[in-house]
Amino acid sequence: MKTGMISIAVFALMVLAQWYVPISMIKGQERIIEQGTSFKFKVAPIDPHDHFRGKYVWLNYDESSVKVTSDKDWPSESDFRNLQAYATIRLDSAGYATFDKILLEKPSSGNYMRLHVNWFDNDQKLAYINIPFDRYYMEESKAPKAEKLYNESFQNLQNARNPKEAWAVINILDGEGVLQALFIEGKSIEDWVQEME
Amino acid sequence: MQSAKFIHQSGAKVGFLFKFRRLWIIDLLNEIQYFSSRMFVISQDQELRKNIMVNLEKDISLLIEAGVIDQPTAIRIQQFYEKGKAEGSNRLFTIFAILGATLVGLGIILLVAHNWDELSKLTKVGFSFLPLLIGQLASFYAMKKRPESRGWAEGSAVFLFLAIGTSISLISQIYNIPGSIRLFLLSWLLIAAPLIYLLRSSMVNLLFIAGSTWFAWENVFENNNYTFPWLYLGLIGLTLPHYYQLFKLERGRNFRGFHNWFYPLSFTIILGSVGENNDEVLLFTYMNLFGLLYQIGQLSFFENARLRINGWKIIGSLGMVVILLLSSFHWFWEDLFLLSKNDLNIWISREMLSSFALMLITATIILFRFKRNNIRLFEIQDYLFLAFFLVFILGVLQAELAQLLCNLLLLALGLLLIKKGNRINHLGVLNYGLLILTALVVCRFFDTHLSFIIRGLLFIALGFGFFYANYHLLKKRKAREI
Repeated sequence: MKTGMISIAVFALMVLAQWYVPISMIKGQERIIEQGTSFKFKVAPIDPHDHFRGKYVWLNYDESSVKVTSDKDWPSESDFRNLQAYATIRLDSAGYATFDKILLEKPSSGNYMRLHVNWFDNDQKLAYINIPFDRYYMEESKAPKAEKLYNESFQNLQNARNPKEAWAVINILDGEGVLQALFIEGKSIEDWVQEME
Repeated sequence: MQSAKFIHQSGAKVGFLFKFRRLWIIDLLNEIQYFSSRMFVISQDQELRKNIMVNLEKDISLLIEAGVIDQPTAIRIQQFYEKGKAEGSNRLFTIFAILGATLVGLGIILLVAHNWDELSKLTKVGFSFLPLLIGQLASFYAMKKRPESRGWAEGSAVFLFLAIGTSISLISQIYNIPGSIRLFLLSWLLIAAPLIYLLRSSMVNLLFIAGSTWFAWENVFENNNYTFPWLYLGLIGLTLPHYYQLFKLERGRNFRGFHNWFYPLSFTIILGSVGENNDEVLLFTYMNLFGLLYQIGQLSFFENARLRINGWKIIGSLGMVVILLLSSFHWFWEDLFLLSKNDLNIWISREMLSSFALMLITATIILFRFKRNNIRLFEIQDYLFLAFFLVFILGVLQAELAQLLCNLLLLALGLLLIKKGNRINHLGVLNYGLLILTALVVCRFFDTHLSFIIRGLLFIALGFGFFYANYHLLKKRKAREI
């Protein structure tokens, strides 16, 4: 009887943990969506797929490096494996988000993104970064169409010198972000795909 | 033919995806084929059992008539065989339950991965919890109401295990959460771990070992940070009490066999992550790992087990032979010589330190076996790791001598195994010995400094060796039967 009670208690704890993990994920994301600031980041998407989570558009951000103003605290290159840093965000003249400074310490105020530095170019004083929001999930049949759409807009860029601008909308709060939407020429990728159909 | 055309038309990328999917389907078909062959064996087993029962009843009535056994004994004999029959159908149910739960669980993952646009975020979130809830209810029912049914326990536990992964995946998809598969696997494994013990599910334990291996693999290669994933050892530690239980219980025979293969395979895959790029030393580390695996396979737990379910021993032995074959080439010792000359640090590198740790554990097991008297003094495979250690140290000073010694070790190993195969009347061991000799000769075939005549003669001699040894053993068997 006693072991029965213990196993029920352990079972209950396990069930709680199994609910806690996804629910805390949802809560964290919802908080950023509700309270965070929205930014537009310029991207160039392409499409692969993921076994567990289905099809997604893989995003390649235009912002790939940030100038380091003071590098005296930066570690040597060999210690760059998975170095965590914070990039402060400002808006350029066209209203796109761009990175201003990159810091190893968490800033006390303002908007910033927590990300990883891949490597540091010592001559140019440039930190090459990895923006974590690289997957935009879409319905199975739509992700390849979205890719085709992007490829066409890329061809436009070469042929007619009429590039289609693409950007991702990311909500940011305390360094964490949620990828909200993907736009090409002011229209959401879902709308584009629907028009193609 | 059609598929080839398709690949050609749609360009390389689509072709790759198509091929990838086909491979996946082939894997699935293989799985199904494997399970159906298991079913066939079991159903044949039952057919046989039925025949035995019919004959048995006849025999029992004869024995009662002849006064050899009395009525109560006859009933006891019948009951004994009836019980066996019930166990057989139980096993069938367990296999079906696991297969069914796995297919449904994987099916749900695929459905979810479609990413339904028509549904609102709230509905999608709701759906992501549905399999979890069903799995939890089924597991609770299995635990409380059907504690005697293995099928219920294994089936519901496997389903819940997969449902946990589904719900976390779906949430990640809905919110485009950047994918660190490492953290995903870790949280999945940790919140699924209690299932192993609450439902005593061996299948979940196997999935857990596979998941931990995947986690450790991602840990090393995802971030390019070559640090040993210590958490992996913790995760494997969680599975060990269940493995131990399997030896105590009669019922876990099949699962015990699977576990005997899963552990050594997992260790072999993950050991590479201790590396700091000293590849030649890493080979030495692997030699010690295989030595340890072999030693574990020699423990008294496995004494009466058939060889084919003793994955520890097979992987250990094969691994040692492969390492010896690699080190029978000159380049290996040449590279090691250069490495050790340029960098004294290899003696305190992670590869070297973990080698010593592994050797220490192996030596402890050997001492333990000596105490228990279950070790034969001159069984060469038990001491191969030690011999290789001496050769390795020698190799740093004298490459040619070390290479020669490795070749001699392989030669001795092959010959001793042939002798042993003959002694214990085991064709497998005998041919294993011959194969080692063949591999040795094939490797030397690539060393061009041996003349064609010598190489040719060696091959002919080996070919005859195969004929003679097998013929000799079979003749001996026949003579014994007569």
